[in-house]
Amino acid sequence: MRNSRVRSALGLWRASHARSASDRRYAAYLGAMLSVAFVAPTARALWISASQPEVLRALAAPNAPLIGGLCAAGLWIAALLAGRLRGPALRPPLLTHVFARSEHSRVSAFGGSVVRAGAVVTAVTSVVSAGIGGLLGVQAALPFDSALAIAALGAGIGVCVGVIATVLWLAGQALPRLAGALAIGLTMLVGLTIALPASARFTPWGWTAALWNGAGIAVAGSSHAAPWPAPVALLCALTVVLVSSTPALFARLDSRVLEAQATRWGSSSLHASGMDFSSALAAYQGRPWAGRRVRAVRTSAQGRRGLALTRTFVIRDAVGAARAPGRLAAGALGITAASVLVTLASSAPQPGVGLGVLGAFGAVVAFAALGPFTDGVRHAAAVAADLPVYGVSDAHVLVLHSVFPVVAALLIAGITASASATLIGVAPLAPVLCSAAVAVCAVFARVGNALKGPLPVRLLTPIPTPEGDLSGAVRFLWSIDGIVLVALIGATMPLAAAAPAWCAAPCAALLAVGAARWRRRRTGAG
Amino acid sequence: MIVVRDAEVRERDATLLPATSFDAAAGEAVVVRGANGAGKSTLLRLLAGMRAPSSGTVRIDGRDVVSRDRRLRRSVAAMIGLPPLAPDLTVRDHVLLVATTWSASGRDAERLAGQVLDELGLHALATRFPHELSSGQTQLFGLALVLARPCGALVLDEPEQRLDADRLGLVVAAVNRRREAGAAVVVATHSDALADGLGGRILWLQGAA
Repeated sequence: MRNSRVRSALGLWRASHARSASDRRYAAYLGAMLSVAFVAPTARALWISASQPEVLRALAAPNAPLIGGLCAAGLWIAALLAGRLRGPALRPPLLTHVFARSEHSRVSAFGGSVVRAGAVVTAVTSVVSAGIGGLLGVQAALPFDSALAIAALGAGIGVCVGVIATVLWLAGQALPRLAGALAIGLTMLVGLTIALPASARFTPWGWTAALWNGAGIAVAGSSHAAPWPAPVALLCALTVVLVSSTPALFARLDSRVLEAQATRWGSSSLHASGMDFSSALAAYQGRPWAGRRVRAVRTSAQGRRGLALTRTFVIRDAVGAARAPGRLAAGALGITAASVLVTLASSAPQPGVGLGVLGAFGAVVAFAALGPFTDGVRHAAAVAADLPVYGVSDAHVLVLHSVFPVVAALLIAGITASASATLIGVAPLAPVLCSAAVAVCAVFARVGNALKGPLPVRLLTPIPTPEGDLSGAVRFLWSIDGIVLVALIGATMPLAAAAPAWCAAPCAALLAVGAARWRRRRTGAG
Repeated sequence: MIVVRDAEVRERDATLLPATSFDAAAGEAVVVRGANGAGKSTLLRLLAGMRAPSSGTVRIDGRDVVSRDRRLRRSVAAMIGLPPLAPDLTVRDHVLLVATTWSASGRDAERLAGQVLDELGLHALATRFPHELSSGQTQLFGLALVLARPCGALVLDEPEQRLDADRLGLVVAAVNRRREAGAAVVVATHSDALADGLGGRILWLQGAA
């Protein structure tokens, strides 16, 4: 797979980036501590949560296999699309440049990184599938060895799902244009199988669902024979066919794509390691391409200047957002999903932890989905930290750019909450107010994030405690403070009528943080 | 119009700009020259209000430039590095948006934007997004945003960067038009062609060494 010159080059690279013995010992210590203090308790908590009767009933429900199959299809579509941005054939930028422009085959130069990336994906899918198989065994109170056999079968399905996902991930990187069309085609096929469930048996996600169903029949001890052989054979055959196509996919890897992806990933990783997550994600933001001949800035000779400027900026932001249509549509869908979650959280008769989590998740989704709507806000924040460009004050520019996201968020959240409340049969007032308030707070959090600036130097100061240096945790909290505050607002907003102080506190904190950042916008000490 | 008296900038033990004095009247150009590190950009930052002098005074229209009041904002147009660009706007959208915020009417804004795009030869690039421009085109685009507004003082830091001789000629002509219209112009440059084209007084900075 790998020729000796590639092996030598990789050896040199690793030797020049080798960690010292003390660094390796520290990494091992950190890994062990993380496993003991975080990974093991989290895995145990997940297993205990998944073993609850309602979860087990849901896993054994008649439509669970179909949902599982659709999840596999979703993973494959996501893998295809991810390959267009960041494929599995990825090495550090310099190595990528050297190998991509060399005479070495792609398989020898990038095979190792693809195998490693695929191993991670396959490990995750097989562990999840084995877990589901094990849970089905637990639900049916099977003896240990029978439950283990079902879990092993689940792991096998997971391996196939993971390997297929890896090949599609590579296909997305090797054939970016075709991958987009293929993803759309697969999505339409998935829609067809939802509308016509009988057609699912001709699709890989249908085979996955059939295997889940077969596992369910087996654990139930039904007299009907479990429909194993055909789906197993078909899924394995598909996996083998796809794996055999990888040399052709490797050969199609374009040098420019490899270099661009490696550079972008390197820069993004650097930002993320400095806990500048906004910049890390910005590297993967979709660029505008549509409607370049549509005038975004429309001057008006009529009306008062203030109103005319507001109209100009709202149209400018709306047209600007529509120039990356996919991103805008994803953002609108995200706000819609967030509003449904907040509506569910706010329409329950009794508050509870689960509803709080639902509301918090909805608020975080709203925060993430507002990205395409707040490009103008980010530009206004950049202008406010720089020399004056516009003929109105920095604050005025920020307000003008905030109108579009606030109006768009209010409209989408209000309509969605109203429709969702009607569908689930509750009075719409509280859900609409809650969803609208969460959406507006998410816009404020976006404004605060835009004004954040670089990491303040004072946060680099060590904070020694008996448990170790806490400055890393403080820096992490600083980097995600907007998300944390928005999550708190989402969790407490459904309680606004009964206990307003609970939701007023994070709202006040959000405003205070934003105001402090505004005052320090030119010093960059956010 | 621009009055600088013994303005000095120190950062702990380092002197970034030795004590410097000069005046620039309306319609006059001052070309700031000197080796790398002589303090050219630091001097321009003082004029743009991006930092305060450690000692001495910098005044424009009789006002302290440290304050960023609206009159000073209206008076000083400065480009020190590229201005922030909006990735979702085309070149024409950018220039028109800036002009709109400075103009009394939409018609004035359209005229001003069209004029700036013309004089910098950017009409052919009007429908491009910032990520579709070359480095030289981006430099011209940045200049267009600074020129698409009225000003009493024009402050430019090495506007010749990444420009070929033809484009540099366009920049010289555009800056001279602002000077002839009454703006006080201060330009820091390493380009003899730009300095000759502007034909203003030369202010040589020797640096702290």
